Amino acid sequence: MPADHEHRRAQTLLDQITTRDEGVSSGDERWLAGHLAGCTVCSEYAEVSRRTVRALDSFAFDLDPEAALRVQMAVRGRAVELGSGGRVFAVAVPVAAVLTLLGSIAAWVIIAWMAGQWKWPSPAWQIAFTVLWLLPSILLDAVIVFRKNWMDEEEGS
Amino acid sequence: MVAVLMAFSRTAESEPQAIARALRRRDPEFIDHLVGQYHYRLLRYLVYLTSKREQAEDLVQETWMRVLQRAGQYNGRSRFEPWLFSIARNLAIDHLRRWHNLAEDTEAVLEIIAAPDVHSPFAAAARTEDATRISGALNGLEPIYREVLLLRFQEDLSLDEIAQVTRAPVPTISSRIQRGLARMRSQLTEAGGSSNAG
Repeated sequence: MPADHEHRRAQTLLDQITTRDEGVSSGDERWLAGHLAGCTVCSEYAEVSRRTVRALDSFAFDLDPEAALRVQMAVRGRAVELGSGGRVFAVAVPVAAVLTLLGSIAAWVIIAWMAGQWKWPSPAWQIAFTVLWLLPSILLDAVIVFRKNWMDEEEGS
Repeated sequence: MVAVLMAFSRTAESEPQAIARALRRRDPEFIDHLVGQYHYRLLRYLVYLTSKREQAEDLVQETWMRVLQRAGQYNGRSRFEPWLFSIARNLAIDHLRRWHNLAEDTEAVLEIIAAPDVHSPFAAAARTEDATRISGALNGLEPIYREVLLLRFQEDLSLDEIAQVTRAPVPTISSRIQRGLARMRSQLTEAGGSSNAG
C-alpha cells in the first residue's frame, strides 16, 4: 500500500507531464511507471487527467459565415484606408521638404535684392530671414511629421 | 520575372516575418487571408475570456482594427499568435471592466467569474460526452484559468508564450493550469464518468 507522500509525488509528476510544463527525469519516469503499475488511485488520476485534456479539445464553436465575412470586409476596408494614407504621407513629406527648400532659396534671392536696393545691413536682414522665414518653415514641417507619428502611436496604444 | 523573384523571396522568409511585412505594408490581400485564417481561433479565445458569444464576435473585429493600427509593433521575430492574443486580451479586459463598472486600470476583472450565460457557449460547443460534463465547470471557471487551459491545450502555446500574452510569470501560469485542470478533473469524477473512458 503506497504512502500518502508517494501519491503526492506521483500526482505532482503527472501534473507536470499533463501540463507539458517541463520534462521529468528518466529516474522520476521509471519511479512513476512503477508506482502507477501498483496504484489504482494514481492510475485513475492519470486517466482522468488525460480525459480532461481530451475533453478540452472537444469544444467546437459554430461559425457564422456571414459574420466572418463582415469582419473580413471591414478589416480589409480599414487596411486599404490606412495603406493609402501612409502612401500619401510618404509622398507628401519629400514634396513638402523640396517646396520648403525651393521657397526659401527664392525668398532669399528676393530679400537679398531688396537689401541691396535699400542698403539694409547684411547681418540684420540675414538674421531676420532666418528667424522669420527659415526656422518657422522647418519647424512647421517637423511638427507635421511628428504629429503624424504621434497620432499613429496614440491610435495604437 | 519580378513576380518570380518576389515569390522566391517570400518563400525564403519565415511565416512571422511574412506576416510582419504584410502588416507594415497593410497588404489587403494578405490581411484578408490572415483574418480568415485566425478568425475561428480568435473568436474561441475571446469566448473563453468573456464567456459571451456576441461580445466575442464584436471583439474579433475590434482586435483586427487594433492589429492594423499597431502593425508596426509586430517585428516578426516571434510567433504571431501570442501578439494577436495579447491585443485581443487587452481589448477584452477593457470591455469587461466597462461591463463590471470597474474604474481602475487593472486586469483583476479576469478574476471575477463572468456571469454565466443562460445559454452557455461551452455547453453549445461541447462535442463529446466528457466535454458536455465539463462545460458547466468551464463556464463557472474564472477567465484567468479558462484562458490558460485554452492557450496551453488547444492553441499549444508554450508557457513562455502564455506568459507573454498574460504578462504573468511562468510559475503563475503553471499554477493556473494546474488549478484549472483540477476543477475540470473534479467535474469529471463527480459526474461519475471516470469509469467510462473516452
